[in-house]
Amino acid sequence: MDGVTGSHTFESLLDEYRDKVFRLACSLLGNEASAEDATQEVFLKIWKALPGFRGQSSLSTWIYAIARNTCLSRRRMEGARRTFSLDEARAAEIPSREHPAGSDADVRSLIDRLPSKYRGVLVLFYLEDRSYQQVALALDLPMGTVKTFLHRAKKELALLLAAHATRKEEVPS
Amino acid sequence: MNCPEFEDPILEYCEGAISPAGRARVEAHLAGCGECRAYLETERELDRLLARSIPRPALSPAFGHRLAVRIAGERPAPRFRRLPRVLDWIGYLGLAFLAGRLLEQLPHAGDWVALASLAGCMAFGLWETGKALRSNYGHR
Repeated sequence: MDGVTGSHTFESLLDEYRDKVFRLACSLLGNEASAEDATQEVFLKIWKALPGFRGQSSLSTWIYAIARNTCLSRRRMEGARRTFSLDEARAAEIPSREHPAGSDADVRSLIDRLPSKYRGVLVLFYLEDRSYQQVALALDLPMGTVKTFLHRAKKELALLLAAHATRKEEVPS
Repeated sequence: MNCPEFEDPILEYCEGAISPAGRARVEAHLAGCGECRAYLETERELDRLLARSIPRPALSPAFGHRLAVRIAGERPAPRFRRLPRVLDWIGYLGLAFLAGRLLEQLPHAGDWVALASLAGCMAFGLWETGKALRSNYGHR
């Protein structure tokens, strides 16, 4: 896997950005298997294009642009919109503490119902250890927009959780 | 909420991303407003819930191997690449010599040799130009 630009080899880019690109793909595609395939595709594109990279933008901007475009075209191809969800096996391994609003799976299904621009920011914010800066860089959004989308997402989610909790109280299982 | 101007600052406070001046302003307000304290507690609970519901995913252990296989599949066939350039030229000259000897056996041999030389030069020129263009545009 050769390929060099400046002091960056393909291997060093892969080490530095593999997990970040994967988390971005998870937030945009909502499915780990699909996100992993997209991450493969992104790094294959990077490997092909790296010899022609002339530093028109910063390396991270360039990599995240490739990642976003790849994920968005993949999402268009896949058609159905899905969001963050653990696969069945992993979900079964994690003991879920019941919240008044419901289980973690309930919360994830409510996150799924948020508008995609809010949902992407919300999920990536938690995947990136609550870093506004990392979310802004990965999604190419101004920091103020990240905060606005995040806060709107939380407010909408709080309403959905309240409605969900009310429904659970009305229909006891 | 009775204090809408504190709604976003309280969210930023909860997310730990507020300026020192903003923090002091929010804390001063929280000290005297029970409703905003309750709002902060609700937001903290939501934050904990989200942190738990959105765990960090991990790439599968086979990711690196799969990528290496895909990249290997994209590499051009190394047919002539490993041969030193000088061997290529010895081969070309040998072929040209053989072709010349064959053409000498034909009637009007001089015309045939001239025609074959011209065709060979044009084909070689086109081939080299194509290679240079592909290389400049980053195609492999």
